[in-house]
Amino acid sequence: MKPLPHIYRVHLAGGAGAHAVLSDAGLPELQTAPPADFDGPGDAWSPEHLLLAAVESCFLFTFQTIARNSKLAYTSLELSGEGIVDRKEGVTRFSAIVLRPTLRLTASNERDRAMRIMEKSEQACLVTASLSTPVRLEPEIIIG
Amino acid sequence: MNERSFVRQVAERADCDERRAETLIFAVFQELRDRLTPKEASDAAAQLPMSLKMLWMSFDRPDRKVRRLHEGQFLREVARMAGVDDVNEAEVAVATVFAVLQEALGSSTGTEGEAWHVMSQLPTDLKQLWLSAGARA
Repeated sequence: MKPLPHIYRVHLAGGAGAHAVLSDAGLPELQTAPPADFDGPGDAWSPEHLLLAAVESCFLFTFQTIARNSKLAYTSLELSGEGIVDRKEGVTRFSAIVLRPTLRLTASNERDRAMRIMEKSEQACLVTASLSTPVRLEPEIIIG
Repeated sequence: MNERSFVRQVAERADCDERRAETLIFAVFQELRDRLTPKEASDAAAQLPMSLKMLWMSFDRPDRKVRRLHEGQFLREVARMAGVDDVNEAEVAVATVFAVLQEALGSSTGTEGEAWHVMSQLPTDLKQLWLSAGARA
């Protein structure tokens, strides 16, 4: 890892229409638009989806690093996530995020350790740490 | 002491291979660091060579709370993280990593310099383990 601080930049280009394009040097462009729930077209990654995607992918990459340091062998890790947007105290915001990782292990005696590493990954994820929205983990482990 | 010699020493003293030693070191570092205040964890890191410092500080958060674990729970968490079967085995692993860490911090007994500051934040039962690790080495 490079020494901190790290600086990240994203360029956004949009006009009067619903769609806009996210870009940065060396990265593929990504079309974004408001979600259908906010009267957007619903055919592009919305800010709401991108936030959830950031939490999920940060969890996955943190897990990979902790598992590597802990020498935990696993076959695959898939995540589904759910973010609830609601109005609380007059503010519309994400009120909860639920992460549902499904981890596939080959060794059944690694179940408890894998669970601990998933818990630690959620606590250590820098994106989650940057949010005030509570993130709840509902992990599942499959053996075989 | 660099990371490789730290790993080698833990492997020799714990009678395991270096891959296993790396797992034990990571688990003990994570739990011990989280038992300290972020400031003390950072002060201890400053005394370590770069590669060990990176390992010690990995996944730390400056806004985290101290995980106020006593010895039994501390050993159980290390056992869980490292995949150690029982608490006695975890105690040997923790004592081994404590001893080599004390040496890396420039303390032969665990009571000098930065090692003393680390010890001073531990509860009595973990202080005893820290001190006995130094004496055992």
